[in-house]
Amino acid sequence: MTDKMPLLSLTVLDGSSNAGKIKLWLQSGISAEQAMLEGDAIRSPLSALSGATLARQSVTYRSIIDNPSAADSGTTVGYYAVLIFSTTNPDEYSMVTIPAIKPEYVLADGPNSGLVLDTLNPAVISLVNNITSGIWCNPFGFDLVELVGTIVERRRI
Amino acid sequence: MKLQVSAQEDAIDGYFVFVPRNFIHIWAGALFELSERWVWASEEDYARAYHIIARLRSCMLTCPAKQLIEGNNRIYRLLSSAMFGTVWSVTSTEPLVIEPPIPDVPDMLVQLPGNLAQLEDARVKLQTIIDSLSSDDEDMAAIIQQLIEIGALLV
Repeated sequence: MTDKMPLLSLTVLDGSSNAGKIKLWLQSGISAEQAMLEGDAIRSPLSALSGATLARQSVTYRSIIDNPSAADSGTTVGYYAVLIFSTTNPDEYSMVTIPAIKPEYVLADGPNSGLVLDTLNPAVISLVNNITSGIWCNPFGFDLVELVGTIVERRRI
Repeated sequence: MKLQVSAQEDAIDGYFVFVPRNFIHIWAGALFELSERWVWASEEDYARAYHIIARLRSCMLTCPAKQLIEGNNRIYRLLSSAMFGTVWSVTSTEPLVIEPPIPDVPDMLVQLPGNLAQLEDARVKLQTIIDSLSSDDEDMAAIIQQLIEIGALLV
């Protein structure tokens, strides 16, 4: 695995709300917190030269798999499994999607056969346990608690 | 144009929609774009839509139409057994076949031991008593015996 430079991205909007981007790469090893602080610091000198106004700031850390293993030729990224989780906030949920779901993990029997994951499969149980371990949260910051449903979706490639 | 979605006070104010089984994958997949932040006008709209879509996806398969219809059929059979004494038998499990088939129009022919059959039996016995009391050939022993049988039917 090769780590790429952290990327600071500033999204700016002109007077007609058209978006533009400023991208700056940071040295490797800089923490996310430090990177955001650096972003805060450079906003002012950048803004001095631009008529647009800052709308969003992000830092992206990327790693590239050096020698990826061969993909399963029997699957396609058009088929996604979606796992829906409850969160620590009542009535809030989270969705985790898995492209190119392998057929052996899709339920084979019963009225929902072919449409949902086999949640009794050890590999699925292991994944769910990992996701609900307290590390992962939904886009609004609430921890994932319990799997409440799954569905297999077909999307355009 | 960005989308907006209002807050909903009543959590169960909604609609049942029938989705053919062979379209479920595609319909669910079409929800994908709606769960993206850029579609929505504000963070509040995005949050509401995200949770609605999550709930839609999670409940989409909890009650397939076949299960719902079969649930109704089970209620019909329960009532038909109690009221008309209909006896049902499973002749196949895959696919599920139960005989006799549920008729479009209920068969009102009562059979023992259905409740209606017992009431009908009691009514016939009472009519017999009334007929014999209104004639000259009443047989008190027979009448008492019929009253006992009526009492047994109504227990």
